[in-house]
Amino acid sequence: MSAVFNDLERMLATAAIDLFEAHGAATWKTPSVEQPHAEAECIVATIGFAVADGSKGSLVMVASPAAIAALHTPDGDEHSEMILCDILGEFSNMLLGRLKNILLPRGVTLMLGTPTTAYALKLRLSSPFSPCRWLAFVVNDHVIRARLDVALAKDFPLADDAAGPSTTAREGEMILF
Amino acid sequence: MASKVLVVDDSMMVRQQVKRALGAADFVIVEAQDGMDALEKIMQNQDVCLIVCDVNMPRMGGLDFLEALRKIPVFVSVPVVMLTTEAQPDLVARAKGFGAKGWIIKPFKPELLVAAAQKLSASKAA
Repeated sequence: MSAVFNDLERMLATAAIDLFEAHGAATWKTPSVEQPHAEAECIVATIGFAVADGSKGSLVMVASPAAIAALHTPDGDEHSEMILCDILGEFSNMLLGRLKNILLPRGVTLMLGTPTTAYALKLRLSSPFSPCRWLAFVVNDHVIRARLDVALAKDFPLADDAAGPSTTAREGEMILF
Repeated sequence: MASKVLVVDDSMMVRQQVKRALGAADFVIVEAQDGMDALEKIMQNQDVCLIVCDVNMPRMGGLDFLEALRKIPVFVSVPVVMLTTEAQPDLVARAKGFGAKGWIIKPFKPELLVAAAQKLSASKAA
């Protein structure tokens, strides 16, 4: 893996821990793995992204229904597949949003898609054509996995320091005009 | 009569969270799942005093919805607060250019949203 890919992986891990902890979940990251074992029953969410220089990739999140239910309690205590898919889709959206906000001051603007989700039994994902790595987080004693895959353009513009525009506000903040 | 708020987000989880926060403060919530749906819902609920709207959504995103909304004379001044994971300055500037009144970055703090809703709905009523 390239140094830039490793940087992106570190940023994603930081963003994920911040996100889960912002939802009151005790979280830690386990060592990265190449390919996790197939889950007996799980929800999968994915969002694609692109950069103006031609770089592109996706974030895939995989979690068991119990892991998702422990992360967020829906109204009415109804844990239907549709609701669990929606919750993981929104978490993947917030996670990629956080990665985007980390990258903005480094001169990289991600253009984000919207989440696609599915309920799966014995999920096995094919490997993407681009480099990828799985991260695993223990969240409220459940494992949530995230796969980052990125095809970097030759001149991916990741600056060493905060050279680009900073974000307007941080997560959880509000600006009134 | 209770003030009515239109919540536009493709995530049911976010709509529930907003509904819970604003419902506890006596707002009545109308839900829409994207910008296209929101344009339909607001025509049926022209007494909406505030719109809380996501940015990235399928079919029609929040900023395109806001632009379309401002072309309808009766909704030129209805307050809109964007609720999103995005913090990109040019997106914030675009929303402000279309007359949005606020920008909240998810996950939101319920008390901040309620305070904004009370302030903005009061200004709409005045």
